[in-house]
Amino acid sequence: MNKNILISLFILLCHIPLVHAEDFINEVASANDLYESNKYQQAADSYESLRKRGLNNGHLYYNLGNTYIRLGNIGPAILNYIRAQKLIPRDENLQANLNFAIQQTLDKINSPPPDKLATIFFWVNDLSLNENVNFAFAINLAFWLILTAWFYFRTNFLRLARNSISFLLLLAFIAIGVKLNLESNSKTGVVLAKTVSVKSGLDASNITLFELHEGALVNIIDQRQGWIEVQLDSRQKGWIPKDSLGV
Amino acid sequence: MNPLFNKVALLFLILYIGLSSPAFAEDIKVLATVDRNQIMLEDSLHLSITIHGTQNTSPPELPSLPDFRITSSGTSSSTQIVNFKRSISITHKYRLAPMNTGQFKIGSVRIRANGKIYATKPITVVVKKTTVQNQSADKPVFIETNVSKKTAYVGEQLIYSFKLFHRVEAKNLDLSMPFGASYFQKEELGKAKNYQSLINGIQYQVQEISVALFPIKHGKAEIPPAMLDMDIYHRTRSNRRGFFNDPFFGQGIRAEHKVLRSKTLSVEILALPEKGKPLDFKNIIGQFNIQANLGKKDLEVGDTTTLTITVSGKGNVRGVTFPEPELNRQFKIYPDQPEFKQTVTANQIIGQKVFKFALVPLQSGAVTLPALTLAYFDPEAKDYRQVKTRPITLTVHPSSVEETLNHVQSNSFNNILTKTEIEILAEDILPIHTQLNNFQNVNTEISTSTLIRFVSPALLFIMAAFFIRQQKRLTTDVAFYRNQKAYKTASQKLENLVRSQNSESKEFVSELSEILREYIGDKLNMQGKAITAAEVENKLKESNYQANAANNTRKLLERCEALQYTPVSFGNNIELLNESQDIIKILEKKS
Repeated sequence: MNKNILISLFILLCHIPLVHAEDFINEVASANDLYESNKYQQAADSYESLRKRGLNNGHLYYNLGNTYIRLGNIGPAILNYIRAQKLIPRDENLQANLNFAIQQTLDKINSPPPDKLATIFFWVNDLSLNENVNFAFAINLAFWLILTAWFYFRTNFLRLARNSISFLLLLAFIAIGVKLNLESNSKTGVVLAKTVSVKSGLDASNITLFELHEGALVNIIDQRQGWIEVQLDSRQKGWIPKDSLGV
Repeated sequence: MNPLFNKVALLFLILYIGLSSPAFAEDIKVLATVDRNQIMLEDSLHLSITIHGTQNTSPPELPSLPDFRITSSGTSSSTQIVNFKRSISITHKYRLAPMNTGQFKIGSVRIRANGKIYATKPITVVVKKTTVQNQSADKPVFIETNVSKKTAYVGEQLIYSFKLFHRVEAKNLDLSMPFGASYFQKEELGKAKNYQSLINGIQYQVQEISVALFPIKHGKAEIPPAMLDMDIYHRTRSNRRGFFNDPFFGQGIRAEHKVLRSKTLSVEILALPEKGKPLDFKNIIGQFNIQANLGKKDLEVGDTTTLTITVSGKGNVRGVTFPEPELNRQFKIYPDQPEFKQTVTANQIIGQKVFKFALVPLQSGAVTLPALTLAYFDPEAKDYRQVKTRPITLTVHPSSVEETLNHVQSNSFNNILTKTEIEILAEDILPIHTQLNNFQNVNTEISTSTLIRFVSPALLFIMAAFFIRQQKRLTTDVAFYRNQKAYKTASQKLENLVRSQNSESKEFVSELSEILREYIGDKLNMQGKAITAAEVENKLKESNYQANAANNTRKLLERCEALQYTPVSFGNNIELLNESQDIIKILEKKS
């Protein structure tokens, strides 16, 4: 009896259905139609409404980015492309449009050197977090199945397969850790205001160190009392009001 | 120690303690002042927050001023001692550059000092729009933007110019010059130009920056206002005669911060007309000339001559392309990399693109190269135009060398000449995603269910491993096998007994006793049939079965034996059967 319950639970967990966006599909279609008929502001409102109601989807963010480009709002466009990049990292159109949007910005900001961990685990950035988790899950399932088979048959082939898959499983788990680490440590923000003064402290009265313009990509270091500490490189960093930055 | 030094030190100590004691301390007062209450949009306002009575405060907490851009201009502090009374103050200065016109209230500025909060009185300021008349009339500095045409076709070159007019020194210029990237592609036209201009009899220094804009789609395009942030320096003449009584030394310099904004410009972008569009039209817009020249016009089969086609004019010359000319297989053709030159003359991009084709005649005779045409749209004439080259005639003589020449040349040319590179004419974003199946909600959080998904295969493995181990033990361990199967075997035998034997017979009791002993034999891995009731009790106790259960089993077996050897039947033995089943269940639970 207990065995049956556990098997049922396992099957259920393996097939946890994703929350389908069926409720949203019609709205997505009508927002796409608005975009196609050049009604960009209405399209942006529709996409934003879907986003605020909880639809988390890379293609939605991509379309929203395109809409903001058409409206001439480079900052929100880049912000949404970056959101999309986390969910559909291998989308070529997304990369092309993000490059196009970055070209439109006024500030020349050198991209930071790649993280060492990301260089070693080179595939991590090509996969979204969900894809990394699903990959690890598949490897995990294969590992336990092979371990069970080896426990029963004890052949050399199964022993080799067990060792190989356990190594892969270890890599997959480390990759999830690296991905989580990269996402929590390297938080990127996009300047949404047309111009923002970067201050030396948490107050408008502090000295303006430099100015950033809409669409500039910055690294977020800290957040306090309605102000965000941003960094461009080891020398250029300072505080900007929270509402001028999209995270 | 020197007595004089001691006295001076004592005096300073008394002065210090006296002046810093509460009896001399001032009340704290906070004052906010502005240099003007009415300003133009281009000007900036100086806000000073002066704190009297202390210099040891945290920086002022400014109110929310979304309509101003705030820059700190520094702090200054002052200490005065008059009649042994010390008065101290600190002034925080800010520069407020207005972003909009209207009447604005600068709310209370709050200061925290000595555990109290001090607030200033609100200040009302009026920001007025710079009128067109004001824009240039008698101003020390103003800006202008203009676009060369208010109506243009897609692909037509427009000039967008920004001019700064100033008759005072201007420094720290910070220009933001957006151009409407969704409608235009921009091309730089070189460095800023500096010249002088006379406006209403006033001489201005002019700095001009121009860019070429190429519309990429039709519609009503807007070029957002340009914004120039700068400091200007006014020379003021003091009434006092200065150093050496020279008027030069009586001059002073007053700095002023300005934020100038231009107007939004709109351009109507027209689509190219469909009527009269030539078939070979390739989005070339402007005014162009075409010319064709041939190197050698008298040559032999296998010799090489170069056909040069030069396209020049104003517009997007860079986008002109020419395929290999159709020469009816009379020539082997090797295209060269086109050369492109661009010059900017009077804010107009003038370009020249040169296409070169190496021609190797394959047969002798008089050959005429046909005219080459270029179709383009002339925005000034608002119509499509075609320019042509003249046909060129050349004479090809039979080869004086043997025929193998062509192959050798052909290979060498292939190595030297490369194909024409594709040139980028415009850039735009790629289209939106429309595949609705892709718009599913994605859960990116690692939840408890995710962890359970990872752990559940391990649980299944533990169960499977236990099962496999059991199966293996059953095949190798006889005692284990007997122990595991004992209950099942006994149960089956009891069922068969009920079906096959009369419950009142002695055989029934004999069989029941045997089943019971075999069960115990299987559980304890011994010959069940041969053991006595007393041995059963002892063995069960040795195997840690409860004494009570062992005792009951012995009694049951003894009763069975007694019934077996009693000459008279006692009737129905079902009660004995039930008792045996209960005993087996009890022993099975305890095992």
